[in-house]
Amino acid sequence: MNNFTEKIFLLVVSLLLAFAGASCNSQPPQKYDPNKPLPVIGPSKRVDGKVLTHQIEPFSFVDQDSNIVTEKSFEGKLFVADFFFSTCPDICPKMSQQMVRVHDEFLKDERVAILSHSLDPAYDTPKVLKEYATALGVETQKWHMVTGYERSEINKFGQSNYLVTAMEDSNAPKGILHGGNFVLVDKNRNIRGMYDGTIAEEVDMLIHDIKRLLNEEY
Amino acid sequence: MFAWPILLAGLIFLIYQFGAKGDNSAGAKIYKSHCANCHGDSGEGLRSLYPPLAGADYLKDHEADLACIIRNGVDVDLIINGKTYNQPMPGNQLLSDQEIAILIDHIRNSWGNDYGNVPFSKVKNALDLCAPTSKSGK
Repeated sequence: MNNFTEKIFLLVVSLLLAFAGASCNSQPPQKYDPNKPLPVIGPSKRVDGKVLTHQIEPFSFVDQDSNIVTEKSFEGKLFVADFFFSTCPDICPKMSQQMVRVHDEFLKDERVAILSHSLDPAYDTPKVLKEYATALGVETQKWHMVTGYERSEINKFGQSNYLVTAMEDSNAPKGILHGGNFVLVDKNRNIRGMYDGTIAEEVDMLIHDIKRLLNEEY
Repeated sequence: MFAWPILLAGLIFLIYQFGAKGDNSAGAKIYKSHCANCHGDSGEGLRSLYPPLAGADYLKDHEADLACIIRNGVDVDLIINGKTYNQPMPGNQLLSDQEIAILIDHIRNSWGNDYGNVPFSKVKNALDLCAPTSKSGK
Protein backbone atom coordinates (compact mmCIF):
# COMPACT_ATOMS: atom_id res chain seq x y z
CA MET A 1 0.00 0.00 0.00
CA ASN A 2 1.37 3.40 -0.82
CA ASN A 3 1.14 6.31 1.55
CA PHE A 4 -2.01 7.85 0.11
CA THR A 5 -4.14 4.71 0.04
CA GLU A 6 -2.97 3.91 3.54
CA LYS A 7 -4.26 7.24 4.77
CA ILE A 8 -7.60 6.73 3.06
CA PHE A 9 -7.81 3.24 4.51
CA LEU A 10 -7.17 4.54 8.02
CA LEU A 11 -9.72 7.31 7.56
CA VAL A 12 -12.38 4.77 6.57
CA VAL A 13 -11.48 2.53 9.51
CA SER A 14 -11.68 5.45 11.93
CA LEU A 15 -15.08 6.43 10.56
CA LEU A 16 -16.34 2.89 10.97
CA LEU A 17 -15.02 2.82 14.54
CA ALA A 18 -16.75 6.10 15.32
CA PHE A 19 -20.07 4.78 13.99
CA ALA A 20 -19.64 1.52 15.89
CA GLY A 21 -18.99 3.51 19.07
CA ALA A 22 -22.13 5.56 18.53
CA SER A 23 -24.37 2.56 17.91
CA CYS A 24 -23.05 0.58 20.91
CA ASN A 25 -24.59 3.20 23.14
CA SER A 26 -28.09 1.84 22.44
CA GLN A 27 -29.24 1.31 26.04
CA PRO A 28 -31.79 4.12 26.51
CA PRO A 29 -31.24 6.38 29.52
CA GLN A 30 -33.61 5.77 32.42
CA LYS A 31 -35.20 8.42 34.58
CA TYR A 32 -35.64 6.21 37.61
CA ASP A 33 -33.59 3.32 39.00
CA PRO A 34 -34.37 0.32 36.76
CA ASN A 35 -33.66 -2.09 39.65
CA LYS A 36 -36.35 -0.70 41.94
CA PRO A 37 -40.09 -0.22 41.42
CA LEU A 38 -41.00 3.20 40.08
CA PRO A 39 -41.12 5.67 42.98
CA VAL A 40 -44.33 6.99 44.49
CA ILE A 41 -43.93 10.73 44.12
CA GLY A 42 -45.39 13.43 46.35
CA PRO A 43 -45.70 14.22 50.05
CA SER A 44 -47.12 11.37 52.14
CA LYS A 45 -49.44 12.16 55.03
CA ARG A 46 -49.68 10.60 58.46
CA VAL A 47 -53.29 10.07 59.52
CA ASP A 48 -54.12 8.18 62.74
CA GLY A 49 -50.64 6.71 62.83
CA LYS A 50 -50.88 5.42 59.25
CA VAL A 51 -48.79 6.75 56.40
CA LEU A 52 -50.91 7.67 53.39
CA THR A 53 -49.16 8.12 50.06
CA HIS A 54 -49.89 11.17 47.94
CA GLN A 55 -52.95 10.43 45.83
CA ILE A 56 -54.84 12.39 43.16
CA GLU A 57 -58.11 13.60 44.72
CA PRO A 58 -61.47 12.67 43.20
CA PHE A 59 -62.53 15.03 40.40
CA SER A 60 -65.32 15.74 37.96
CA PHE A 61 -64.65 17.39 34.60
CA VAL A 62 -66.27 17.64 31.16
CA ASP A 63 -64.45 16.23 28.12
CA GLN A 64 -64.45 17.04 24.39
CA ASP A 65 -67.55 14.89 23.86
CA SER A 66 -69.33 16.76 26.69
CA ASN A 67 -69.20 13.63 28.83
CA ILE A 68 -68.55 13.84 32.56
CA VAL A 69 -65.12 12.45 33.39
CA THR A 70 -64.31 11.48 36.98
CA GLU A 71 -61.67 9.41 38.73
CA LYS A 72 -64.03 6.45 38.14
CA SER A 73 -63.49 6.87 34.38
CA PHE A 74 -59.90 5.76 35.06
CA GLU A 75 -60.67 2.83 37.35
CA GLY A 76 -58.21 0.00 36.79
CA LYS A 77 -56.20 2.17 34.37
CA LEU A 78 -53.01 4.07 34.55
CA PHE A 79 -53.07 7.46 32.94
CA VAL A 80 -50.84 10.32 31.84
CA ALA A 81 -51.99 13.79 32.88
CA ASP A 82 -50.93 17.19 31.63
CA PHE A 83 -52.06 20.83 31.60
CA PHE A 84 -52.42 22.82 28.41
CA PHE A 85 -54.75 25.09 26.45
CA SER A 86 -55.70 24.94 22.80
CA THR A 87 -54.36 28.37 21.84
CA CYS A 88 -51.14 28.16 23.84
CA PRO A 89 -48.37 29.23 21.47
CA ASP A 90 -45.21 28.22 23.33
CA ILE A 91 -44.89 24.77 24.85
CA CYS A 92 -48.27 23.14 24.17
CA PRO A 93 -47.64 22.40 20.49
CA LYS A 94 -44.57 20.39 21.49
CA MET A 95 -46.50 18.71 24.30
CA SER A 96 -49.31 17.74 21.91
CA GLN A 97 -46.80 16.44 19.39
CA GLN A 98 -45.30 14.23 22.10
CA MET A 99 -48.61 13.18 23.68
CA VAL A 100 -49.77 11.98 20.27
CA ARG A 101 -46.91 9.47 20.48
CA VAL A 102 -48.27 8.14 23.80
CA HIS A 103 -51.78 8.01 22.31
CA ASP A 104 -50.60 6.07 19.27
CA GLU A 105 -48.34 3.72 21.22
CA PHE A 106 -51.12 2.59 23.58
CA LEU A 107 -54.13 3.08 21.31
CA LYS A 108 -55.13 -0.59 21.52
CA ASP A 109 -54.33 -1.00 25.23
CA GLU A 110 -57.38 -0.20 27.35
CA ARG A 111 -55.30 -0.08 30.52
CA VAL A 112 -53.74 3.22 29.44
CA ALA A 113 -55.47 6.62 29.12
CA ILE A 114 -54.57 10.29 28.82
CA LEU A 115 -56.11 13.23 30.71
CA SER A 116 -55.32 16.74 29.46
CA HIS A 117 -56.66 19.61 31.55
CA SER A 118 -57.31 22.93 29.85
CA LEU A 119 -55.98 25.92 31.77
CA ASP A 120 -58.15 28.25 29.69
CA PRO A 121 -61.60 26.80 30.42
CA ALA A 122 -63.50 29.92 29.33
CA TYR A 123 -62.16 29.66 25.76
CA ASP A 124 -61.67 25.89 25.63
CA THR A 125 -65.28 24.76 25.57
CA PRO A 126 -65.97 21.09 24.77
CA LYS A 127 -66.61 22.19 21.18
CA VAL A 128 -63.20 23.89 20.89
CA LEU A 129 -61.49 20.89 22.49
CA LYS A 130 -63.36 18.58 20.12
CA GLU A 131 -62.00 20.48 17.12
CA TYR A 132 -58.52 20.33 18.60
CA ALA A 133 -58.76 16.58 19.27
CA THR A 134 -60.23 15.91 15.83
CA ALA A 135 -57.42 17.85 14.16
CA LEU A 136 -54.92 15.77 16.12
CA GLY A 137 -56.76 12.63 15.04
CA VAL A 138 -57.12 11.25 18.57
CA GLU A 139 -59.84 9.17 20.21
CA THR A 140 -61.85 10.53 23.15
CA GLN A 141 -61.86 7.20 24.98
CA LYS A 142 -58.08 7.16 24.94
CA TRP A 143 -57.42 10.87 25.40
CA HIS A 144 -59.86 12.98 27.43
CA MET A 145 -59.36 16.73 27.03
CA VAL A 146 -61.25 18.33 29.87
CA THR A 147 -62.76 21.67 30.86
CA GLY A 148 -65.75 22.76 32.94
CA TYR A 149 -64.23 24.62 35.90
CA GLU A 150 -62.83 28.01 36.83
CA ARG A 151 -59.25 28.84 35.93
CA SER A 152 -58.36 29.40 39.59
CA GLU A 153 -59.83 26.01 40.51
CA ILE A 154 -57.79 24.08 37.96
CA ASN A 155 -54.59 25.96 38.84
CA LYS A 156 -55.03 24.96 42.47
CA PHE A 157 -55.99 21.40 41.56
CA GLY A 158 -52.94 21.00 39.34
CA GLN A 159 -50.55 22.39 41.90
CA SER A 160 -51.76 20.39 44.89
CA ASN A 161 -52.54 17.12 43.12
CA TYR A 162 -50.14 16.86 40.19
CA LEU A 163 -47.42 19.06 41.72
CA VAL A 164 -47.20 21.05 38.48
CA THR A 165 -46.76 24.74 37.80
CA ALA A 166 -50.07 26.35 36.85
CA MET A 167 -50.75 29.95 37.79
CA GLU A 168 -51.75 33.42 36.69
CA ASP A 169 -48.90 35.49 35.25
CA SER A 170 -49.55 38.68 33.34
CA ASN A 171 -46.27 38.22 31.42
CA ALA A 172 -47.23 34.80 30.02
CA PRO A 173 -49.41 34.27 26.91
CA LYS A 174 -53.08 34.77 27.88
CA GLY A 175 -51.88 35.31 31.45
CA ILE A 176 -51.38 31.57 31.94
CA LEU A 177 -48.06 30.29 33.22
CA HIS A 178 -47.65 26.54 33.23
CA GLY A 179 -45.11 23.74 33.04
CA GLY A 180 -44.90 21.08 30.37
CA ASN A 181 -44.83 18.05 32.64
CA PHE A 182 -46.44 14.73 31.76
CA VAL A 183 -47.44 13.05 35.01
CA LEU A 184 -47.71 9.27 35.14
CA VAL A 185 -50.48 8.12 37.50
CA ASP A 186 -51.09 4.48 38.42
CA LYS A 187 -54.42 2.72 39.03
CA ASN A 188 -54.29 3.73 42.73
CA ARG A 189 -53.99 7.37 41.61
CA ASN A 190 -50.43 7.58 42.92
CA ILE A 191 -47.92 9.59 40.90
CA ARG A 192 -45.21 7.27 39.59
CA GLY A 193 -43.24 9.53 37.28
CA MET A 194 -42.80 13.08 35.98
CA TYR A 195 -41.48 13.76 32.48
CA ASP A 196 -40.85 16.90 30.44
CA GLY A 197 -43.51 16.65 27.75
CA THR A 198 -41.67 18.99 25.40
CA ILE A 199 -38.63 16.71 25.01
CA ALA A 200 -38.80 13.56 22.89
CA GLU A 201 -36.18 11.67 24.96
CA GLU A 202 -38.15 12.27 28.16
CA VAL A 203 -41.29 10.93 26.49
CA ASP A 204 -39.27 7.89 25.35
CA MET A 205 -38.64 7.27 29.05
CA LEU A 206 -42.32 7.80 29.86
CA ILE A 207 -43.38 5.24 27.26
CA HIS A 208 -40.78 2.84 28.64
CA ASP A 209 -42.04 3.37 32.22
CA ILE A 210 -45.70 2.89 31.21
CA LYS A 211 -44.74 -0.51 29.81
CA ARG A 212 -42.82 -1.25 33.00
CA LEU A 213 -45.78 -0.32 35.17
CA LEU A 214 -48.09 -2.45 33.04
CA ASN A 215 -45.75 -5.41 33.49
CA GLU A 216 -45.38 -4.89 37.22
CA GLU A 217 -48.95 -4.17 38.19
CA TYR A 218 -51.22 -6.03 35.76
CA MET B 1 2.88 4.78 13.32
CA PHE B 2 1.10 7.89 12.07
CA ALA B 3 -2.21 6.07 12.53
CA TRP B 4 -3.35 8.05 15.58
CA PRO B 5 -3.26 11.54 14.04
CA ILE B 6 -5.29 10.24 11.13
CA LEU B 7 -7.72 8.49 13.44
CA LEU B 8 -8.11 11.76 15.31
CA ALA B 9 -8.61 13.64 12.05
CA GLY B 10 -11.36 11.17 11.15
CA LEU B 11 -13.13 11.80 14.43
CA ILE B 12 -12.85 15.57 14.12
CA PHE B 13 -14.23 15.30 10.60
CA LEU B 14 -17.17 13.29 11.93
CA ILE B 15 -17.91 15.72 14.77
CA TYR B 16 -17.75 18.59 12.29
CA GLN B 17 -20.24 16.79 10.05
CA PHE B 18 -22.74 16.40 12.90
CA GLY B 19 -22.18 19.91 14.22
CA ALA B 20 -22.47 21.67 10.89
CA LYS B 21 -26.06 20.71 10.10
CA GLY B 22 -27.68 23.75 11.80
CA ASP B 23 -28.85 26.62 9.62
CA ASN B 24 -27.74 29.88 11.22
CA SER B 25 -29.27 32.30 8.74
CA ALA B 26 -31.41 35.16 10.02
CA GLY B 27 -34.49 33.55 8.49
CA ALA B 28 -33.78 30.25 10.25
CA LYS B 29 -33.40 32.05 13.59
CA ILE B 30 -36.69 33.93 13.23
CA TYR B 31 -38.38 30.71 12.15
CA LYS B 32 -37.00 28.80 15.12
CA SER B 33 -38.16 31.31 17.70
CA HIS B 34 -41.54 32.25 16.22
CA CYS B 35 -42.80 29.36 14.08
CA ALA B 36 -41.07 26.05 14.77
CA ASN B 37 -43.05 25.27 17.92
CA CYS B 38 -46.16 24.59 15.89
CA HIS B 39 -44.98 24.11 12.32
CA GLY B 40 -42.06 21.90 13.34
CA ASP B 41 -38.28 22.17 13.04
CA SER B 42 -38.49 21.02 9.42
CA GLY B 43 -41.79 22.63 8.51
CA GLU B 44 -43.56 19.31 8.89
CA GLY B 45 -46.61 20.62 10.80
CA LEU B 46 -48.68 18.39 13.10
CA ARG B 47 -51.43 16.26 11.60
CA SER B 48 -54.49 18.41 10.79
CA LEU B 49 -53.79 20.77 13.67
CA TYR B 50 -50.86 22.77 12.33
CA PRO B 51 -50.38 22.81 8.56
CA PRO B 52 -47.04 21.80 7.08
CA LEU B 53 -44.89 24.44 5.39
CA ALA B 54 -42.57 21.97 3.69
CA GLY B 55 -44.12 21.20 0.34
CA ALA B 56 -47.12 23.47 1.01
CA ASP B 57 -48.63 24.66 -2.28
CA TYR B 58 -50.18 27.62 -0.44
CA LEU B 59 -46.79 29.29 -0.04
CA LYS B 60 -46.28 29.59 -3.75
CA ASP B 61 -48.88 32.17 -4.75
CA HIS B 62 -49.93 33.85 -1.51
CA GLU B 63 -47.05 36.23 -0.79
CA ALA B 64 -49.35 39.06 0.33
CA ASP B 65 -51.58 36.79 2.43
CA LEU B 66 -48.51 35.23 4.03
CA ALA B 67 -47.22 38.59 5.19
CA CYS B 68 -50.57 39.47 6.79
CA ILE B 69 -51.02 36.01 8.33
CA ILE B 70 -47.57 36.16 9.92
CA ARG B 71 -48.24 39.62 11.35
CA ASN B 72 -51.90 39.34 12.37
CA GLY B 73 -52.60 35.65 12.60
CA VAL B 74 -55.50 33.97 10.91
CA ASP B 75 -58.80 32.54 12.11
CA VAL B 76 -60.43 31.36 8.91
CA ASP B 77 -60.07 27.97 7.25
CA LEU B 78 -57.03 27.58 5.00
CA ILE B 79 -56.79 24.95 2.30
CA ILE B 80 -53.28 23.61 1.96
CA ASN B 81 -52.44 20.79 -0.45
CA GLY B 82 -56.17 20.14 -0.72
CA LYS B 83 -56.67 19.72 3.02
CA THR B 84 -58.59 22.14 5.24
CA TYR B 85 -56.96 23.52 8.40
CA ASN B 86 -59.20 25.36 10.85
CA GLN B 87 -57.14 26.05 13.96
CA PRO B 88 -56.51 29.75 14.61
CA MET B 89 -52.94 31.00 14.32
CA PRO B 90 -51.73 33.83 16.58
CA GLY B 91 -50.13 36.90 15.03
CA ASN B 92 -46.54 38.06 15.49
CA GLN B 93 -46.94 41.77 16.09
CA LEU B 94 -43.36 42.15 17.29
CA LEU B 95 -41.80 41.17 13.95
CA SER B 96 -40.71 44.11 11.80
CA ASP B 97 -41.50 44.38 8.09
CA GLN B 98 -37.93 43.34 7.33
CA GLU B 99 -38.09 40.30 9.61
CA ILE B 100 -41.34 39.18 8.00
CA ALA B 101 -39.78 39.54 4.55
CA ILE B 102 -36.76 37.48 5.63
CA LEU B 103 -39.06 34.88 7.16
CA ILE B 104 -41.18 34.61 4.03
CA ASP B 105 -38.07 34.01 1.94
CA HIS B 106 -36.92 31.40 4.45
CA ILE B 107 -40.11 29.33 4.49
CA ARG B 108 -40.57 29.59 0.74
CA ASN B 109 -37.05 28.26 0.14
CA SER B 110 -36.45 25.65 2.86
CA TRP B 111 -37.12 21.92 3.30
CA GLY B 112 -37.35 21.33 -0.42
CA ASN B 113 -39.48 24.42 -1.12
CA ASP B 114 -38.12 26.34 -4.09
CA TYR B 115 -40.49 29.24 -4.67
CA GLY B 116 -37.93 32.01 -5.04
CA ASN B 117 -37.51 35.29 -3.18
CA VAL B 118 -40.16 37.97 -2.77
CA PRO B 119 -38.98 41.60 -3.19
CA PHE B 120 -39.08 43.54 0.09
CA SER B 121 -41.22 46.25 -1.53
CA LYS B 122 -43.91 43.68 -2.24
CA VAL B 123 -43.94 42.46 1.38
CA LYS B 124 -43.95 46.03 2.70
CA ASN B 125 -46.81 46.93 0.40
CA ALA B 126 -48.80 43.89 1.49
CA LEU B 127 -48.24 44.69 5.17
CA ASP B 128 -49.43 48.28 4.65
CA LEU B 129 -52.65 46.95 3.17
CA CYS B 130 -53.39 44.18 5.74
CA ALA B 131 -56.80 44.37 7.34
CA PRO B 132 -56.24 45.17 11.05
CA THR B 133 -57.54 41.74 12.09
CA SER B 134 -56.60 39.56 9.17
CA LYS B 135 -59.45 37.64 7.68
CA SER B 136 -57.43 37.15 4.56
CA GLY B 137 -55.94 33.93 3.43
CA LYS B 138 -58.81 32.21 1.67
